[in-house]
Amino acid sequence: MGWCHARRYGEERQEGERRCEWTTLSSSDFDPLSVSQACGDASADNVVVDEEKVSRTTTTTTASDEEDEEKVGSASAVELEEEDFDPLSGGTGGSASGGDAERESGAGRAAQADLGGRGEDALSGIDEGEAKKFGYGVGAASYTPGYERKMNWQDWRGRRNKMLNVRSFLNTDCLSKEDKESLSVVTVNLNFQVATTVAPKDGGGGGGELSASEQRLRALEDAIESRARERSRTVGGSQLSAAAIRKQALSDQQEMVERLRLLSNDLSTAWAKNQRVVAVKIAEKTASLLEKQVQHIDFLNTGESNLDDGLMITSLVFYPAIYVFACEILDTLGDLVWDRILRKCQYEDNGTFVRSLGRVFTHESVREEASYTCRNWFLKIAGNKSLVGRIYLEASVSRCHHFLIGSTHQEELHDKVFLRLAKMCRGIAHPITSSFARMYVARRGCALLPDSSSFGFLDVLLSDVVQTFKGLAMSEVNNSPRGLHLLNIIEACLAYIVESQGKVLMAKTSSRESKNNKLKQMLRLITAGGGSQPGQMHPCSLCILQHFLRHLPHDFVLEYAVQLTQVVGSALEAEAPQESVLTEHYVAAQSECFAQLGVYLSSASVSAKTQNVVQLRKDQQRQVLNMTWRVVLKYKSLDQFLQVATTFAAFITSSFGDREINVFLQSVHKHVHAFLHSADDAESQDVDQGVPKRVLSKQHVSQIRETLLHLFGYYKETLGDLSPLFAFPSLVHLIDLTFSSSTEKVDFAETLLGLLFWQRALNQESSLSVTDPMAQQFCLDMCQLVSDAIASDINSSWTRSGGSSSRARKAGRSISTFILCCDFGGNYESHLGFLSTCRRVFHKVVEVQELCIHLACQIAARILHKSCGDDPQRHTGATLDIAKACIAFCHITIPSLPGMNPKLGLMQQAASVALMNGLVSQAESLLKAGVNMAQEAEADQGGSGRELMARAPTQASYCANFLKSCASLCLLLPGHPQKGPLYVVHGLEGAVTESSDKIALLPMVCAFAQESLPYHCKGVDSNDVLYAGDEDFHRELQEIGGKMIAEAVQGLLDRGTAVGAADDALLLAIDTILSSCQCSAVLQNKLRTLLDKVERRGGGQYKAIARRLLTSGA
Amino acid sequence: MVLVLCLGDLHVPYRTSDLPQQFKDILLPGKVGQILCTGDICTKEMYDYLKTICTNIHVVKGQFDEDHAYPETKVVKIGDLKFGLVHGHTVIPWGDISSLGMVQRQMDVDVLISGHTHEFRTYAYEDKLLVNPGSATGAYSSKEASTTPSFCLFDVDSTKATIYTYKLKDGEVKKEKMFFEKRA
Amino acid sequence: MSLQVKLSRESLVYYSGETIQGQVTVLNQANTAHAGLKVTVKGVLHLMPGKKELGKVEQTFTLLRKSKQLLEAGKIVGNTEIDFSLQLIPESGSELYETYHGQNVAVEYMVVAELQRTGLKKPLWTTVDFILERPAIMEGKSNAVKTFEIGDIGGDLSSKIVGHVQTTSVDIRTPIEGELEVVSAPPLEGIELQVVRKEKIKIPELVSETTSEAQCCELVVGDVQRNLSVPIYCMLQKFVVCPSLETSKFDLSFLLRLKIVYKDGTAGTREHYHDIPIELQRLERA
Repeated sequence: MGWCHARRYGEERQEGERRCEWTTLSSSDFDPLSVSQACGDASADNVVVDEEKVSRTTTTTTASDEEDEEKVGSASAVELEEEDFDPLSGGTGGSASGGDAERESGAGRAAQADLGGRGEDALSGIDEGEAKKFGYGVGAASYTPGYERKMNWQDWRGRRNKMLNVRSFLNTDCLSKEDKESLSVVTVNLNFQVATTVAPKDGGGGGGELSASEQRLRALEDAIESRARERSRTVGGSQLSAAAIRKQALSDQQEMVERLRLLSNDLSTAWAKNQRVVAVKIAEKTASLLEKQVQHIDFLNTGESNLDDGLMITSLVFYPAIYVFACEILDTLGDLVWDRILRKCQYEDNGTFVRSLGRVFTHESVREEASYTCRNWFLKIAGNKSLVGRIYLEASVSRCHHFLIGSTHQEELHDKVFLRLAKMCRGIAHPITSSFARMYVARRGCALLPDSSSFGFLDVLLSDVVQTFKGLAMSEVNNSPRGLHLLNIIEACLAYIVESQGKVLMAKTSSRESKNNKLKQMLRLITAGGGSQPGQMHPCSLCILQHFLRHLPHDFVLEYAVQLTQVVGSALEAEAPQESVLTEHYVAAQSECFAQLGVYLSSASVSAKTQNVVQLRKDQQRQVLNMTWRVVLKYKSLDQFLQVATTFAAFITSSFGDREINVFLQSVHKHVHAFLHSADDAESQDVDQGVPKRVLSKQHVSQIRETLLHLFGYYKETLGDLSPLFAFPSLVHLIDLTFSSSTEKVDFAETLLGLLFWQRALNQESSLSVTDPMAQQFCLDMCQLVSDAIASDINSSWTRSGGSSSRARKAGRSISTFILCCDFGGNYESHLGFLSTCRRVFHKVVEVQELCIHLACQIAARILHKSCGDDPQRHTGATLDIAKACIAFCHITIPSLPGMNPKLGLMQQAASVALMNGLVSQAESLLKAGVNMAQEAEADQGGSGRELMARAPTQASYCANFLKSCASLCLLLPGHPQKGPLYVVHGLEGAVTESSDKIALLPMVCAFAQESLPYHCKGVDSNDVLYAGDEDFHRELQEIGGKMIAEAVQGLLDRGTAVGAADDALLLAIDTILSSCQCSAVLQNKLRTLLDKVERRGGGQYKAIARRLLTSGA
Repeated sequence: MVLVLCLGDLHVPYRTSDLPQQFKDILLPGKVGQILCTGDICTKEMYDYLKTICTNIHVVKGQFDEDHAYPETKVVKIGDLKFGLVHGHTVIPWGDISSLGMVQRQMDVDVLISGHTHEFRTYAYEDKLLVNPGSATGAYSSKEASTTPSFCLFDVDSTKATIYTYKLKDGEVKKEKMFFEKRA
Repeated sequence: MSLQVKLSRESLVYYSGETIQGQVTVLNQANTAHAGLKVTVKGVLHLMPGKKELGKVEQTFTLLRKSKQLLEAGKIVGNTEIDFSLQLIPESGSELYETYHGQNVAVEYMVVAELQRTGLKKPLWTTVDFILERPAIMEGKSNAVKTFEIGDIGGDLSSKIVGHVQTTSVDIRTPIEGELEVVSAPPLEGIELQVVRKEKIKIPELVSETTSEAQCCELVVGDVQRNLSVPIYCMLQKFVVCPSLETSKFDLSFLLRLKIVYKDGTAGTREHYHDIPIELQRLERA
């Protein structure tokens, strides 16, 4: 069995290297990467991926490489798709404009869904009714080519609820508690499902009996009359108590609303029975109801307030609800009439189809019968005496004008009809009736004139309603709670009209100039006159302005930003001493205006970096900021302050510097502090400073949170460093104040971490580096909060097995990124200290533990490189201590990791690093510990190598690879003084249980036997230096090597003819032996025998080995 | 004429923070047709970054690539050359020519690409080529605290290949080239 | 058994001299004997005394009467439909005036179908109204804008309401258009526009002159803002007005009346009127 381990390692290597002839290229020579051409097509035809399964030295039955690759590809693809974590998703999301939904004040907003579409329609019942009348089935009665009639109850309900939930009404202080309760009850009650189908009653109507709808109509009229009578009764001496009156009023209103709801059903029913007269009557009565409902509310002469305030307010409060239902009825009627005339165009009276009318038609293509009917309708409506009725009905049926003028003549429709209707509204003196009528006209007009180029009627409406509003607001009379309600309601209509006008302007006007001119006109209209000083506007204009500002083009706002701010800011200057009911309202409007401006300014300054957007000049920006802040600072209400602050945050951060941001934070902090510590009772001045008396509402918290996150994000994005932020003292205080409960804190922390540390930038410049100790501490606290929260959360956990929950995964990743981002300069000690803190704090997070170990190794390697120039002998006492500390850190931490993977790898890495630093004993102990761990793992799994492979192939192969890697590392280690030079070798050999695996260690043994080892560690004397020429050493090696070869060969011979993977093992073993050492003739024969066993296999490897055997023999 | 990029042993972010900027400047997307990576990329971000350079990427498992189920070895045929890819930490001793030769015979390839030593080496071995592209980031290896960042590029034309190597020395990218032809 | 008449023209509008066509339908269960089916077209002018004039009797003049016997006495089997056509030619000495239903003057036209029955059974009859219009004239009389100014409302000398009407020769099919503006006035309750008709009956038995309101439109509701112009737009309803007419028996003339209701101190409301005479015509449509 002779063999000789002398191989010409070094010579072979030098030979191999020499045969590679390298030529140095200068910078001017060609190389593929310097030329900017994209060559190398990924889909080159020649490329064929050939997977071979010779990956493991031991058998594997499953786990093909292909599958692995697929898994890799798909796993990463899945990973990518799952990455929908939005760091800001925890918050309320978005800028202040998201809060729009809450700022809407009712009525006006409601009908937007209608714009451009057709109104709600009646029900399929009509079709059936008509169809049945004409004697054919429902299917054929589909005469709606291109006309969609959809029941959009969702929209209606939403609108209605919005109208009913007008915030100010329920928050008003003048309503008593019972009223408020009843109101809210009413609101709940009105969330009903309007019936979606009404089956037409058979048997037809007519005859002498009154149909149900007619009865209801009567009842409605009676109700109106009786209430009017009752009101006049209460003039002289109130028989009933005020509360009773109020209750009565409420129930009356409820009744009214209920009746209206039923009437709207009746309308369609009546129509289906061809009781068109009844239908029209219903509509007319509805319009008159709209008129009479608020008629009694005397808005001018409070001297004769013969009615209870509460009563009036109730009527006011319910008006929008009634309006909504009334609109429903009127729109339905409009649609029904349209359908009827359309039908007349297309069918004869007896049902025969004449021709179909397309979407676009001229008035000639309309049948005479149809246009006759159409004219009759208009005549009928015009015969109504009541102005209000005429306006509403004509607006609702106005679409039918198309039959007379053609479908495309929208300008004509506008001029003839809507302009007139807008002007007719001037004839209504009562502000509420007129405003709502105007709103209806606006709504119908916008819906029916989508393509028209003239929208003058909106101008008329707007100027009229603005005048009405202003007139009311400016009259002293309305400085009362009732006045407030009045203004609120009208403001809703005004808001709607302003916004319609704004939207139309944006959509229609073509040139920027004309747009701007128009907008300027509107602005002038809104801000005109009424202030106590020249150039100042009346505060009521603020209410209008806030709606106007909502939909404007950016460049317009920016052009006039300074003027707008000035106007808004100065509007309330005169009001300061007097506190009237309306002042609060105006202040709210003012803050809204500021907030709107803030939105524009912020988005402009943010997008200025990416696009060429009109920007304010620096001095203009400063002006705007100063003017705004001067006013906003004085706000007593936190709501309003925060409203403005949140929107201005982006503007301030992107356009101004640290000083302004500091001021900003301070003012926010001050306001929050003041809010929290303000007592409701101003007399109790002995306020305990530490205990906050009030709690921030959810909205406040989310607003502040948004602002803070924005700040953090800004500093991360633009500066890449959080230090300046922590120079602001108020920041941390603010955070403490705001997030009082632990859940809030954790939430904020998680979101913040996600924002700052989720993205691991590959680019060094753009990654965040946390250098400031305060910042580090702060972030560490945040991380700790999160990790503790997750640890205690039963739904997520930090365990690695089975993939931790996504929350834990994200948090873990963020924390890891944070640790990576912490930059300590050259201060290794503090870095290591930091790592130990992290290890302690995040003891449950495996990812972090691993990272700490890696970083500790990195510190040790860096010390060696930077301080000692790669030479461990140049270690000073201090650096050596740090290196030792790092290694000790690893030594302690690694065993606490779960699972084998990557524990063993880390052990080996730590051992390498220790060795590099000259810490031989530590390296040895680490290696020994690692090998022990590998052995224990095998023992735990039970069974020897092959069974282990079968049960847990990945782990087993990992252990095996680790041991091989250790074998290579061993070459660097010097021998143990007491236990002999090959102490570790023995240990390794013992660890490898499978005899066929042992042969893999043969190269190591042979390498030891060389004169000089293939590689060395600087500063460490390896065995070739220590034991060169030592006979015992070589003898021992010989023994070990011989034993290995003998066992292996015997084992292979005994195995007999095996197939598949065993062949691979055989070939590998033979190759190993041949490559490692020089074989004697006997050995060669044995090897030849073995080789013959697998002759049938053929293949490149076999041939190569066979050749080698042949040549070695020679 | 396929361009194949060979690199590996990035160890980002555990041992180094990033690829050198000079390398990033020349490794622009769309220039190479394939990437053969010897492993130890360590994180998904680097893998994604490599993917941006070229979507056709082959990676083998290194010592610290645990999260991804890369194979331990891979054989890729480019042109008429068979390339073998292995990380090399299981080769005893590391970077040894005969042991690498064993692996080359086992995989039956013309060019064997391995890593782990973080040293750029090429050996002509029995008409075959053994290449170690080194560490592209210059991370510390198992025996050295700092290494020269390097990678190499194969320009494959059926049985011939031109090999360019790029090393970062003193802040400058030094380039070398050599030829290899497979003998039948 | 029942009778139905249907005219061929949907709009039911006919002109003097035209032929009116239609269908008489007898709905019949079984065979029934009858004594003849006749269809008549009738046009009648009613002149009625005013409410206060007691003792006077309504006078009726037949303007048009044409009949045709559709079926002689015989049997009707099942449902039968018979077409007819009659000519609208007035009686001698009469003219066919437009359909009009006023206060004291009314002109109506109808088609009557009568089925005489055998025995003592009452005859079956049914009637359908139709409309007669005079032909439109080409040109109207004058087209000038008529402005008005109302002052001195309720003794308030400074009060002023101004406005205009597009034209005083109004096409009966077009709306009355104009504008109104309250410059200054005592507190208003409302302003209405009324279309007032003056019926003058000339026949010796019933001489009278009646003024009645044909139609009313609210223009202003409540105390409207001053110096704001409000449109006047009033579509004339059918049959309550007709083109201004002067005949031997009666005269029909029209005027617009603005009714201004205002608050008189604290003592309730008072009214102030302003009249604008107009001429109603039926003009050829452009």
